[in-house]
Amino acid sequence: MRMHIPALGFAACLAALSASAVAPHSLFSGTWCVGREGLVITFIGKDSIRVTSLTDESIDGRGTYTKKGETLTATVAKDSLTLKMGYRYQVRPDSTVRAKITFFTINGDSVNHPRRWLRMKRCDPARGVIPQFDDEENEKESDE
Amino acid sequence: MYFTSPMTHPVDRIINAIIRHRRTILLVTALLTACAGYSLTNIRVNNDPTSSLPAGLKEKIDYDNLQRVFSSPRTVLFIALFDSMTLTSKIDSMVSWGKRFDSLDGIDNVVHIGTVQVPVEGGFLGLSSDYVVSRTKKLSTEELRGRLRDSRALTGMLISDDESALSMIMDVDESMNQVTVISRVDSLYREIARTAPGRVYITGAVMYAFFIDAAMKRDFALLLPLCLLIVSVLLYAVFRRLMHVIAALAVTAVALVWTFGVMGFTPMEFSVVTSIIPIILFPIGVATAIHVFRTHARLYAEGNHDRRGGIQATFRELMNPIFLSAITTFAGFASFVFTRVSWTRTFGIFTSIGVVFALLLSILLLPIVLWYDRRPPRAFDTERRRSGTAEKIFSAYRRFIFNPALWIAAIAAVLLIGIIGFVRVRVEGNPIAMFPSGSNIRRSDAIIEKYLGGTRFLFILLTHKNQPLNTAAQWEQVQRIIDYADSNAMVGGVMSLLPLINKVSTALSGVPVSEAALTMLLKSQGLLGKKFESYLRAWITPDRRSTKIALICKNVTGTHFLELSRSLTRHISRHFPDFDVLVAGPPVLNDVMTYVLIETQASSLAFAFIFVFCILCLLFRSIKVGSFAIVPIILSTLTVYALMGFTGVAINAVTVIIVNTCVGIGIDYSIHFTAGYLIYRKKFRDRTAALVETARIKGTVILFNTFVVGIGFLVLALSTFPPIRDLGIFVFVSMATSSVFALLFLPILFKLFGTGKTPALMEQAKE
Repeated sequence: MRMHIPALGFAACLAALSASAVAPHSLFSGTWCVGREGLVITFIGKDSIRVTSLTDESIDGRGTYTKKGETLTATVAKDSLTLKMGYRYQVRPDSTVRAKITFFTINGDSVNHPRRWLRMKRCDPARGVIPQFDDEENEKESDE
Repeated sequence: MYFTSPMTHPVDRIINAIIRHRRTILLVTALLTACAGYSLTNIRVNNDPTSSLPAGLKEKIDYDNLQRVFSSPRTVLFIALFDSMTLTSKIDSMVSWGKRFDSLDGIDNVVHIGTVQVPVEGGFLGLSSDYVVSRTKKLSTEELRGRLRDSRALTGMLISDDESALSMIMDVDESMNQVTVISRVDSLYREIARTAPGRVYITGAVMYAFFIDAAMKRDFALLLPLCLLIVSVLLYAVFRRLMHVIAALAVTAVALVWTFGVMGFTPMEFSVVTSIIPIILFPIGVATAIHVFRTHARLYAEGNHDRRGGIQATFRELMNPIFLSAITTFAGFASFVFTRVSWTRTFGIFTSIGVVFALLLSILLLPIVLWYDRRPPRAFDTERRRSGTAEKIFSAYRRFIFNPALWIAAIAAVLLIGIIGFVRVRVEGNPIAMFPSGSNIRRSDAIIEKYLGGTRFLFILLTHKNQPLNTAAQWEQVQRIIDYADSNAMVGGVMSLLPLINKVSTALSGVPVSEAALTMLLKSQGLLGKKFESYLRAWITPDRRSTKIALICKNVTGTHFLELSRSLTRHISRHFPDFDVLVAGPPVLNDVMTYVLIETQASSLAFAFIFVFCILCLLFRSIKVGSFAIVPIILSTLTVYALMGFTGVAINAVTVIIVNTCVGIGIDYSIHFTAGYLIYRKKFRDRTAALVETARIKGTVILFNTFVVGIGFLVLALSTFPPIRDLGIFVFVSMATSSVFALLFLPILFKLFGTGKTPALMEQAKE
């Protein structure tokens, strides 16, 4: 019984988050790896993202994002499912991005979401450049 | 060239033709045997008990429909029973064995407690998936127990509540040769069993066929040669002529090659039931040879020393009884032609074909053997002086058959015992019941029953009539259906999509079923990845209209699963009108199989009796004689049923052939006695003298025949597969009772009521 709930939409939001967090825009276009679950986010143009997976080729989601101050909102829709997520983000000196969900809705219904910080790093899976991640769950940094 | 007079008896003309064309006959026989031998290589073996089910059964169609909606691969279940190990060690053992099974070619997917992933708090959405037995963190025993407890609904079939039994489910790649794959699994299982720190077992529907296959091959390799050896020794003890022994065996061997050669040309499959055809045909085939050689010897002893004349006289006397025996035996087995159980039908078809071939070859080849055998035949016991003991037995026998008080008591006893025993006969459609009580499969069954809730999987397919299943209200209805099913005493556990929905809903919304969780789970097609989708696919269709509920049921005897499926269907249809419902599964098929077996037994037996009775009446040209001749076999059948009832031997897909074998072969004794009496009746002035002479001449032949045929069947008692063992024992019993009842009760009937108008055989005897 295997389950995989990486929530593409969510990852898409993260992608959006990082894209807007590290202005100017051109600095963040390209591909980022998110967390240890193998999600890959590709920034396309000014407001579009695509989320795929290193481990599961069937994962493929597209979405949009908007940025306002240190928060970012991302939306991923597919068929009758719409995921919308808000984030606080931080750009780290090592060029990685940390993000934390502030709200999460599924088709407009607000749902519980994690309180932990997550991290994303630049990567290039096509060339085999895949960064190693610390275990996110071990990041015990509390809300700021 | 031999001249044949137009007035010559038809049998004499046949014998003359056979002797004249003997070389051609031998050549054609050899050629046909070679062709049939080549065709043997085309035979396909299929020992999967489920394949014997009738294709047109409603319950089978339902199950096939369910399989079409939710394809379930053929799986092997591995169970480990641990005594005193830590939980971590037990899981480590399963993980290690799981890796070894997973590495086998032909095994697709191995699921055990170490591979189960469940939704856990964490990750990007506060909801991620993680292994119950974490692969990244070292969990304490208490943490592990906590996780198992929290995921009970998802791991219930993989670890027992007391943690002593763990199981592993592996899918078999159906594109590969099943026997090869299962052989690998079985080898690895045996290797693990030798060093395992606990007891390990292996089971599953695909294993049933493998174990039956193995038992069949073992039996075939051991029992057939043993049967041949015993029959050969017995034949030699009687004939004292190697040529006659070889001839008797060769006729049957050629008949067998032809029979299975024909099977090779057809799409029909060889199974454990058809594997006993050789052991059935050998005694039947040699029985004809015994009658021929013995009668030939007796006639020689009576002064018929002419080579051709002796052969002609032998076949004049025996042609009708041999033909009659063969046709009634044919009827006994051909009565299975109309059964819906494929194993039994194939057995019936090919055994009856074998009987016809054996008859044909006996008539063609035995005269040639006698023609080439120029030595005078050896006189047999009946032609020599009887011993004192034999005379005493014969005197007792005479006292019995001519003493009304004794035989009335005997008939009453047979009827009473027969009726009491008959009502105790069980019919068993569950293939697991065919395995020995100490077998791996039965033990596995008992362990799963004890520790993991049950071994019978019944499935409910719910299809919403109007819309996809993606609202909380719909899933609350599904929950109520599950609660209703779970409240049944036969149901030990339920598996469905709801535990996952509950987990995700609780994590996202804090309630057991939330719209958000349903949307996330059921509307995100492709978004969550293929592993997640494949898990969902096991429980809900891609259009989200149909969901499957698996009921883990306890093993109960009787046909309660069929009743349960009907009551569930009724309840759901009545109280949940938005759903179309289909309840199906192997236990329902087993129950239906029970009814099919009862139907098979009743219809085939009725057909056999009616056919045999008609043949007897037709060939004896007397309804009265035909009616008398069938009485011993009716009493014998009743006795066999009674003994099956008293000993607890159930009628199943194999043992269903016992009684028809009893009718088909056992009737021969009545035929030979009746035919003998009709001949001797003309030679003696009164019935008593004719009956005594018949009993004296035919009695020993019949008893010896019973002994040889019965011993041939009794070899099956050494089989490792209980139904075959039961078959051997009960066919032997039926042979014994058929012959004894023929010798005991036919004289009574003929003494009391005579034979009426002179039947055909008497006229023939005058010739």
